[in-house]
Amino acid sequence: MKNNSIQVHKRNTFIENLRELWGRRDLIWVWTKFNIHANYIDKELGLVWIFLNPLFTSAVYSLVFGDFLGVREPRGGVPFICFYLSGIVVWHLFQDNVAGSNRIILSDLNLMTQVRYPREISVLVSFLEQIVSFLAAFVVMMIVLIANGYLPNNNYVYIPIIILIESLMIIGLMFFFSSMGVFIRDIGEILQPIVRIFFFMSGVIFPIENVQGVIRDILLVNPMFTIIDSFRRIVLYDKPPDFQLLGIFFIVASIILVTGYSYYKKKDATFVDHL
Amino acid sequence: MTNTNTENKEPVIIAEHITKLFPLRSQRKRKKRESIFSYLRKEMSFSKKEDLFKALDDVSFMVYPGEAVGIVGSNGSGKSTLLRVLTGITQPSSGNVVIKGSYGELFSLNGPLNKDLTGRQNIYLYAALKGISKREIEEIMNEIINFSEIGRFIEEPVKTYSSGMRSRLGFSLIVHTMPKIMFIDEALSAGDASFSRKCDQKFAEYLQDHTKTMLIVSHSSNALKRICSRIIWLERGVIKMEGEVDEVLTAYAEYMSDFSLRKADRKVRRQEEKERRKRERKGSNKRKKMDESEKSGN
Repeated sequence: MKNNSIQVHKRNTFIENLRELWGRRDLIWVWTKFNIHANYIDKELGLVWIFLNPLFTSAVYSLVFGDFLGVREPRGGVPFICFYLSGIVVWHLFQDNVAGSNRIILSDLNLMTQVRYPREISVLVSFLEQIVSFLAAFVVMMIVLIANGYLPNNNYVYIPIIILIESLMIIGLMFFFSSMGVFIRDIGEILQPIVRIFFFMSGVIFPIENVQGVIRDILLVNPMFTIIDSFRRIVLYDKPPDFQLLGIFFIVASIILVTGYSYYKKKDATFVDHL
Repeated sequence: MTNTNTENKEPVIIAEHITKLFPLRSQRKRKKRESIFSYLRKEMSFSKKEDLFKALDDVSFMVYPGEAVGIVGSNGSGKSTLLRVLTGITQPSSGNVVIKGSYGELFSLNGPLNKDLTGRQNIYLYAALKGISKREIEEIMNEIINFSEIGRFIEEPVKTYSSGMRSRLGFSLIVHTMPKIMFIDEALSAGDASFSRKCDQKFAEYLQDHTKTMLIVSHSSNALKRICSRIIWLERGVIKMEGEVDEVLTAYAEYMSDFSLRKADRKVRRQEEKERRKRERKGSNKRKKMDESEKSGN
């Protein structure tokens, strides 16, 4: 007999898991592509909505906060829509992924009871879908920025680093919350308000100069604030990000990802027992 | 020569002492004195053994290449759980499974299909799920579509399909991509009589190749008689009998008609008796009035 025995319930090591994942990259790609396709196939405008959605939401927000509430950008008189859009584009990648992460496994559970595949692909596909929305929103943001006279500058080379750090953190949190969501269904109800609090603690809609005291301290230790602020410094003020702070958050994000992933892999064999 | 010389071959599926415990939801409620944290910790691990239901109890068997083994048993006897444990979809509480060679599973005909995608896209997605390369699936694409008899609907979203079309597509997809070892649960045929004949033929072709192996869960003893060379009878998570097809199926049929039916019958009768007594005891005016009005209505 050929020596190709499969020990069906063997626990793989971390490296073996990554190798298996790499071997299934086809699946990740096809699944992501078709999911995006399925989301927009029935709409008359189809994929155009990926671009229109950020435009609409940012128009509403900048109307409410910029015009009704009179929030101003104090550093250099940046139009509020530019200030807001540059923050919300980065923020939405976090919000859309993390706030819905508890449902990822629950929605794939039916498939999981029937087909064997590396379970972390469900999370990765969900993340990749949002990355596509992020890229579309980024394009919209660039158009608005250029229309307002903020042209791409040399510091743009740092943007991928910032998004990478954010993504590591997001995927780690998604692994954690999605597996928790299977065992404790209440997670979904808690996650929404927490993400909303995080929104206000990340300085998306107001500049840090507008707040003092404890809130300012919270902003400064919040990774999302640093990520959004670094992004803004690049696109609005043509300044490089604070590398020391980014370095710290890179380590934090990596730790979140590795613990989240380990936790997920420890639990993923029991997902289907918790229908 | 079909299934007699299994002794000198090495088994391809080895199941050793498989036990599977399930947590019972009704017993998962938090006790009053228990702190929320210790409850949550317990919730996430199956540490408390007394809260568990034993779906499979020390099941061991082997399957040799070229065999088609059927699994029978009354409802809730652990057949589907056994297949899920064997294919690695769920973890056994204890025990070990070794499978030699690539294997596939078929638990539902329209399960993996995404209703918003077209038939063709679903074929690609399914192939990716099973780890079949794009080139391989494109080679047999036409064969799959022709066999399924779906025609130009292949470019329409699956949600517009009739249930027959869906299961035909699912079935066609599966029989054309079957690896050497297959696990099949309750999905032996699909569609109308003529399609079902095609399915049987396809299975027969598959089994003619003596390196291929199948494990089938079914309630249809006719289908099992046609396909299988050996039957395992599972009852309450334990192997009750194992052996020749006719022998086991006869014993199983006897057991079912003898025991199970009478038991079920008894249960129903007991329930009826209970309800009748309850009604008599509680015989409220309202009920009486309702009865009377019903009678007068008639």
